Amino acid sequence: MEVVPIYTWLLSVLEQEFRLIRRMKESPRGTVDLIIHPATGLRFVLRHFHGNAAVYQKLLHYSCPNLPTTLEVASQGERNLVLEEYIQGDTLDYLLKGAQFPPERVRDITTQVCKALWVLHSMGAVHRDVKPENIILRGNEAVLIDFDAARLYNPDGDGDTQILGTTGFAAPEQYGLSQTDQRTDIYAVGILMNIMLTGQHPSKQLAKGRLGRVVARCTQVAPNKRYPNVLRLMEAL
Amino acid sequence: MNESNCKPCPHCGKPLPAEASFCPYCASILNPRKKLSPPALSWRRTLRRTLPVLLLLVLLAGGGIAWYLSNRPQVYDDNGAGEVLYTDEDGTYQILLGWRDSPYSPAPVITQEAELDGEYTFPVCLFIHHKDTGVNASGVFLQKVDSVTAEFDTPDDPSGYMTYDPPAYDDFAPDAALTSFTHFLGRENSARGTWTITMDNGDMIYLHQTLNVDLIETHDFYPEDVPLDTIQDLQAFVDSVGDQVGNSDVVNIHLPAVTYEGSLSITGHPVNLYGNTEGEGRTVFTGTVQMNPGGANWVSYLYDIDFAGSGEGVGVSAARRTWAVGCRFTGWRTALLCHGTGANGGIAYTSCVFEDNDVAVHYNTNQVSFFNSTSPDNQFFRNGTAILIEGEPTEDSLELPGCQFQGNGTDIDNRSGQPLDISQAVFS
Repeated sequence: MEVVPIYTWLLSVLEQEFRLIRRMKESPRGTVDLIIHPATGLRFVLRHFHGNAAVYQKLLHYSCPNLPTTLEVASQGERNLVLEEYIQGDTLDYLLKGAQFPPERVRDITTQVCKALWVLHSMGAVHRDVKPENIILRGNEAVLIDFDAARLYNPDGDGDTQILGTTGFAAPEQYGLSQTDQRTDIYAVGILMNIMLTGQHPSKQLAKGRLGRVVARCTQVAPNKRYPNVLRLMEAL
Repeated sequence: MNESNCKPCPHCGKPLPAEASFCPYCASILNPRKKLSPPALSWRRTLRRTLPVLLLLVLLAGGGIAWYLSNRPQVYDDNGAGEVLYTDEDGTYQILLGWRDSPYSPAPVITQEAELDGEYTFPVCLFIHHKDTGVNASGVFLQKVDSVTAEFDTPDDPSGYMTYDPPAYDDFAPDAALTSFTHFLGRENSARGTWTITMDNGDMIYLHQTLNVDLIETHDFYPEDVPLDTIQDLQAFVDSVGDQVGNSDVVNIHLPAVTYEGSLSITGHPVNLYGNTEGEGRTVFTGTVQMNPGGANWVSYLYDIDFAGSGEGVGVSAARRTWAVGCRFTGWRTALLCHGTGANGGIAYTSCVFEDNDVAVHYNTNQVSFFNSTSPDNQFFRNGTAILIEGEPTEDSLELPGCQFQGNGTDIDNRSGQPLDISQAVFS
């Protein structure tokens, strides 16, 4: 029989066995679709994009309650198909509209986001787009989604080859020449905490008290003045 | 699929590619997954929370002290060699700190060159081999390890940091048991790092590595120092400057306010060219400047220079990373051409003016990584085409914040489909 690459095979089987519910996102880089497997009624997220799928390839071998499970990755040249678990719940962005969270809730959500980041960082990846829209609350679990901006940290590189992230949450080095590393995500976590506590960016209103001091250290302009890793941040929380 | 490349789904029996992790027929996960969760918080916090229990354990342990004294854990210290031999009931292991590509050679002293206040990162690897066979023993040895930490002493210049990331396995160095990414600031500095391996049986292993940082020298040459009045003078100087400086040294050439007639070709040691900014006179080139210096990942800068063409030719032809700042390009068939390929190529331009060129900026590249994806605050006036992009695109977006486009025949001719961010550019 003819040898069929897994990319071609998966694309074909997905068309036969799954049905599109809706297109969740479309960009020049690719599409994100919500699809359903009618035989089981299970829903999944299908990412179809050009570029590097190295982070997803690594996630294939791990599970973490604070990250969506990556089920399959198929690549052909620069084209990639990624099938992942669909996380049902409200985004933090939606829940924060007109509301703020008490410190205990902020501490709990932030700790779970840190656990997700620890998994990414321990495999040499940086998320680079931590923000309320990318955090879904599933019951008591906070799940960090969307690794479109994620990249593997290249210690030999001079600087990032591209600038990604979301204005307001992106660390200063994401606009400059030095390479982003895990401390870039720590900066964004600091902004996230402040938004949950005050509804404002820390440059406008820094949260008070102990958590405010944690935010201040997370959002230092110089990366070496921030917490060196998420474990230290979790300790401080 | 043929039979050698496929396997049946263990749940529904449908044929799947051998590498499949998921069965799309029955929606079942196939591959085993490791559940990841962060380690417990630091021992200090744990100590605070478990102090009462620990006190009780200390009392109970009193009876075992005599036994402990007779089985006292051993301490292995490399005494600065970067390597120890550790022996237990399973054999003797060679344990060393080194570079990824030299797993059998300890590197007790590392010297890095750095520019002042630059931020740098490099990996250090921990290798573990069976002493007699040289076979990688990372897996069996790490099963006996309780923890591994790495820390620097206070550097000679405490204002320049030196830190290790926590040692962990990394695909970057698959033969290494653990890798730590080491970060330091560009200062003339030195510090001793210590890796501490705590074994389950209480043995302690100490490996040391000294990191020395030497600052890269910068040489500034002025018209008072060397003849730079003609294109022949300048060509002779850029051809010979590599003989006068170290391989890693930075060379800045400050040009006089003259008009250079003819072409300049930079193929030897990388140089940065500074046009005159004193008084009203500018430094002008009327011929092509070819940027093709040696040295990997080096950016050559062109500051405050006028490139004045006569309707033909190329103003700056960049085969290697080139960054024009505050320059003016007028009257060229192609003002700034990027034709470098691979990681060493690429262009950036900041606060430049491009006027009356057939093509102002031409990317004619193949899989070039932008060394800087942002080229801000440029003015493109009355060019046939302001920016022409050919060749294979990258997934990086080219960003043009603060750029102005006015009176051009075509503002951006994006034939390659390169992702662009022109949200902060002005077109009129």
